[in-house]
Amino acid sequence: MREVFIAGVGMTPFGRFREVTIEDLGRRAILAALDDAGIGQAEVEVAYAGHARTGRLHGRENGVGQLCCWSAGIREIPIAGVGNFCASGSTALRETWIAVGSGLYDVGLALGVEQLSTRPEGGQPLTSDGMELEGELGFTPPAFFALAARRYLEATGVSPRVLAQVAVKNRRHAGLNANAQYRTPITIDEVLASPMVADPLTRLSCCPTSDGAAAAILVSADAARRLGCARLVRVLGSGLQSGGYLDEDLAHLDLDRRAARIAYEMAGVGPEDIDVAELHDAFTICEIIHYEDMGFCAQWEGAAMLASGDSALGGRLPVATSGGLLSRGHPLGATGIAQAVEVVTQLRGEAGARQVSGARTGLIHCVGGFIANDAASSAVHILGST
Amino acid sequence: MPLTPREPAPRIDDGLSAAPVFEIDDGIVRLHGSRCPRCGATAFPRRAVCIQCGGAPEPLRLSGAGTVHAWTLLANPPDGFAGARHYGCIDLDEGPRVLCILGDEQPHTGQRVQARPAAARRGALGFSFAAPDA
Repeated sequence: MREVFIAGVGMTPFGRFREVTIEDLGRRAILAALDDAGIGQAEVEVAYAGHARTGRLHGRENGVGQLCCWSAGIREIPIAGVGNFCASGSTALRETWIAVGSGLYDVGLALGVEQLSTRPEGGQPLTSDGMELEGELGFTPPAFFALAARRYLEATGVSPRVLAQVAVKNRRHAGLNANAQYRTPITIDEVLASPMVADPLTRLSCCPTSDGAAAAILVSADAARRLGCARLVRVLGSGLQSGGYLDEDLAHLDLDRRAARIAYEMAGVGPEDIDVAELHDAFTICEIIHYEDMGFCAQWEGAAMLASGDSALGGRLPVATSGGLLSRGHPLGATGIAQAVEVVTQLRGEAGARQVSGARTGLIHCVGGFIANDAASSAVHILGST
Repeated sequence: MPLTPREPAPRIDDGLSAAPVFEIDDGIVRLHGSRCPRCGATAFPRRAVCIQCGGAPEPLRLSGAGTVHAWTLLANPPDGFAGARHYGCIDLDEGPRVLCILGDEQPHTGQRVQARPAAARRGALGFSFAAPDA
């Protein structure tokens, strides 16, 4: 693998946009990323598109990448869709990195797009692909992570108020991000008083239903020189893992630990080197468990890391400076690339009021899907400034 | 045009897909799991290939007895369940883990439970876990 750089990023605001189509969302993100990189459509040599629910919701299991690229004026290149649960966008990023890093292509486009607001179940928890038997027995993603939360609270003696603090922190961060879905500050009492979904997770402890798209342009060093791309961020490491299905403690995810270890080793850095991170905070408890599984702190010390302010803007390792899944929003397939948009913006020093000063190394993490009581897919990427 | 004799269709069904995951026999819940004769790993539902060692598991009828590893109250269960339900992570005595609705009584971590016939989603015949004497 040769070195690969992110030369441009773009995204739509995240929210509920029933008046547009996935084609509109994808086109806007692609055009924004091309503009940011300062290149034209004809320079793009390969594209991967991450999307998770377009088959069931939009009758498009295939061809979302071709549709959005066509809409944005990109033609006659290899394009493939990437479906990998909540890690679909991260996996599209990884496939693009492999395509450019292998030397086969010099300029690649990674797209993530999703429109969930049109789903018929309204405010019911989103189901997870393939969990038919488990669904008959009561499974939903918030039910799974409520069990993890109860296990965590029982093991540590931590109060549900600490979990709620994740939602408060990420909402505060989102207030500084014009692309975030929810920006009005909330309090711990408001999080706890919102309607219960699965004890102890209330509605404000869960990520919202979101629409949106995000895109990134990946280039080789040669292409960056040839095209005059200057605001480069380096892809330092990438780890993608499937479940181990070992029925371990509910309060950690072993596939996340494996994906992180692989990404750290490839990048030649450790958790102590990470300056800013976007984790898969689909539910408040998730962010705390992910601190531990990413190695940001020891096991059972995630709640203390949160309470200390270390993971808030101004702290030692700000997490979810975008607002995270909880407040920036979580259009499944778009999330992984939106995380890259945020960390690239931070590493270029362009994050404005939410800038982490001196940020040089960032980590992004998505985990999604379920098989046999375990998560199905985890992706971790480490990015570095140049 | 002469009819050509039809080739017998290749048989790809190893019996696993059609096998019931559970049965209810005179009020007793029979959970159909499997056990690998090579490494001893157990599974529910039954598996064709052992996830631990790649061996060929044999059918194992599970007792339905287990222990609550964690539990919650679902205020907003999936469509097809009427009202709030307790939900838990049960470690069965023979080893497999199952995530399942629990009975109406308030559960607690470490509690001994037994699979009981109960209405599953949309009133379908299913099972839940409750205290053995409930």
